[in-house]
Amino acid sequence: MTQRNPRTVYLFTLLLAFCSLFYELVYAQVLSVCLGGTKNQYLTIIALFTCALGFGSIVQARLKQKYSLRKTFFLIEVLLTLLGSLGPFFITWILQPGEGQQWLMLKVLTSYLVVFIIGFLSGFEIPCLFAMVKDAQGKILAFDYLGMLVASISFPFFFLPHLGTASSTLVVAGANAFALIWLRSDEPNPKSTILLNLIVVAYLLGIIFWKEDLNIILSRLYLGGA
Amino acid sequence: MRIAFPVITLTSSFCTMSYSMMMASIMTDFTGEEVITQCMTMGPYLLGLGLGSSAGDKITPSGQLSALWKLEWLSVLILPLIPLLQLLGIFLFINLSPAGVNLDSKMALQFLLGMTSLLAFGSGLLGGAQLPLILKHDTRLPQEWILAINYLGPLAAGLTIVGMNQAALPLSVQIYFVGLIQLMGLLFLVTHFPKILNSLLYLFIPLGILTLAGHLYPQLEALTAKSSYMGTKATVSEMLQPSSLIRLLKKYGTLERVKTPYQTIDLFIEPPQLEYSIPGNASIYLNRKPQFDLFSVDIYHQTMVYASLNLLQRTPTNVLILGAGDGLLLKEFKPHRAINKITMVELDEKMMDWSRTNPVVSNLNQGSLANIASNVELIIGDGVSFLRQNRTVRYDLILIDFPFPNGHELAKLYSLEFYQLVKRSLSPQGLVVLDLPLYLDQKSSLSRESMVIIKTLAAAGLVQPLLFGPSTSFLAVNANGKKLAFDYTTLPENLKLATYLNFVAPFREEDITSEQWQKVQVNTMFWPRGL
Repeated sequence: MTQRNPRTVYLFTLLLAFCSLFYELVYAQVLSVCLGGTKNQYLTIIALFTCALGFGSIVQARLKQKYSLRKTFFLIEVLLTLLGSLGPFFITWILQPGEGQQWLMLKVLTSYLVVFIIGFLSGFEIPCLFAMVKDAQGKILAFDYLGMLVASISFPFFFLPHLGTASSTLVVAGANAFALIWLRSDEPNPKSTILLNLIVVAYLLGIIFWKEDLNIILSRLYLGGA
Repeated sequence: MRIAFPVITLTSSFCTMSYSMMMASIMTDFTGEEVITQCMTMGPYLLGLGLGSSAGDKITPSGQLSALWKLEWLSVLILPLIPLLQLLGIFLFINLSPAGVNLDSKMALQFLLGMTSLLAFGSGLLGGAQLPLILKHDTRLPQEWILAINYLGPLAAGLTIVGMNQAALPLSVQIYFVGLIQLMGLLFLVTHFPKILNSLLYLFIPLGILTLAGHLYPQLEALTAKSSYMGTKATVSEMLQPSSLIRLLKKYGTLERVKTPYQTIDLFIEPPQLEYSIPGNASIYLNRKPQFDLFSVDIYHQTMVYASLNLLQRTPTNVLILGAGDGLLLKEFKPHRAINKITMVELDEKMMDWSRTNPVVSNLNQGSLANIASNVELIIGDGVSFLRQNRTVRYDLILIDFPFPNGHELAKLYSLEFYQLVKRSLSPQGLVVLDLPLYLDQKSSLSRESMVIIKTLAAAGLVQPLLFGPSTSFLAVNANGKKLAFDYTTLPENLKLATYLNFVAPFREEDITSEQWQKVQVNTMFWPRGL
């Protein structure tokens, strides 16, 4: 994998770790609304996330000989951006009341599976970042944990009260999309990079502008069209 | 022989995560702020884990086994004390802080969260430092296996702690359980390495500490609860010699605590103080928040039932009660046999069992839960889920008797989505009455919290708010837009005088200025605001 400017790598390590834990906190929030028991939902999600994170890094270590690290990293970020932005809506939708209550356990397990997948994919990130800067594992890990700390502080104190669940997760998914652009930034086409950056910025502004409506969509899904 | 490494890896990761989860649970119980508490415990814990891991990495290979043993021993010694330290911090805060006994204040939250974050960081640090030491050893297992086992620990911890919470196991039992598992892991390590076998005797020290922590925790928990209910205060010098305060707390009154999967119920009975002519009292607290005492119990429940019937101006056919697991609202409905059906939905079965059998509460509810009237149907379940599933039955009267929105979980019961579900189950001419926290601000006008609830109701289509009851306050709303007012000529004659005096509406919707109205927001489940 191409070596990158260490400072940029540290910054993106912080951002990616922030996004991963943030998604999980959003899922914990959505599941606590749909299924009740906030305390236990948060405990379960954090436990599942920590476990999945570890397994992700183990599997990545096995796969790195077979697949290009760069391609894997890009694919991981695409999947994380999609799961982070659409997952909460999907979970709220499948946990709607009404028909199919006999499948509730299956629906709950599906929700936890999505949580596990996010943790699992996030586990792939660190080894990829290690490969971008030589001998900086300690620093990368430090920024990784710092990112998680920032997520755990900013979610309850800033994002949830100011943007709500739906807009928060979409804003963070937008920030996650910057990582995708960054991964492509060493390719010889600066115009497309600028364009992509502009698209993401427009997307973020759009979410902030329509934050009320986005949260209403989640409420409607929860109520099952009530 | 090398089985000791996977075992110690699993027990170590399981136990450190379990303790941090216990810390989060303790803090959630005290503050009611589930989301903030969970985040502020888990974030610092993960940071500690990471920094501990890089610190452990720097320990030289020669001292690894002894370093691992020392670190593990230190963990077994310190970690069971952490929940105890946390509780001690709360006890000291209640008695020493100028913020009084109010744990809901911002200052209390900052102090308690700061303390918990530090303790969680410390436990993460201890847990994180152990893994690199194990990995540097010749474990005769691929490193990936050790890592996988290490990552299974948090999952096992999550499932175990959630399971124990669901079974309403006291925290002292949880401390014993987790501590013993950690101790067994350490025992495994010591007995598998002759080099450190002579350290076996040192295991008795953490065993003693664990026993002490498990024994002291329930006592300190009871003292803390009593201290907060009685409002005790002490100076720093008195706290340095706390025997007289502890004696007073142990001697004065009795505290009966029932832990259910959903809440902690406290019944605090205070004896009469004849020398000051103060009568005895019994108070009920849910998650340390006062619900009612002997002086307010009738005013509260009579007001809720008789104000509803008075505002409705007819006998309802179908009544829905959400909450009220103490059976006191059912008692007030007992004489009203003309009501076709009363459905009561209560989440906490254990609370209902306790209210049925506890001598004080069953006396207060006059056996309404033991001998259920023929027109009453009891449903054990979550009120929100009940309303989400209900698409056919419409109720003439819906009484919502939930605890005040102290925290995220309870704020969901004051949200737009919840009120939309309530409206969907309400008949066109129906009435909704809810227990509303009548918060007043410094200018004696309606506080932001009360206005948020009124605005949220209005957004759901529940309008014409009538806020009444200066003693214990309620809010009545309907969906048909008809103005609500009491008809004092039809009030029954057998109510307590204090109840009659509670049929006063001190605030009307028109008292709220448009400027005030615009400042507050609608509270939703996915965007909790203003409560």
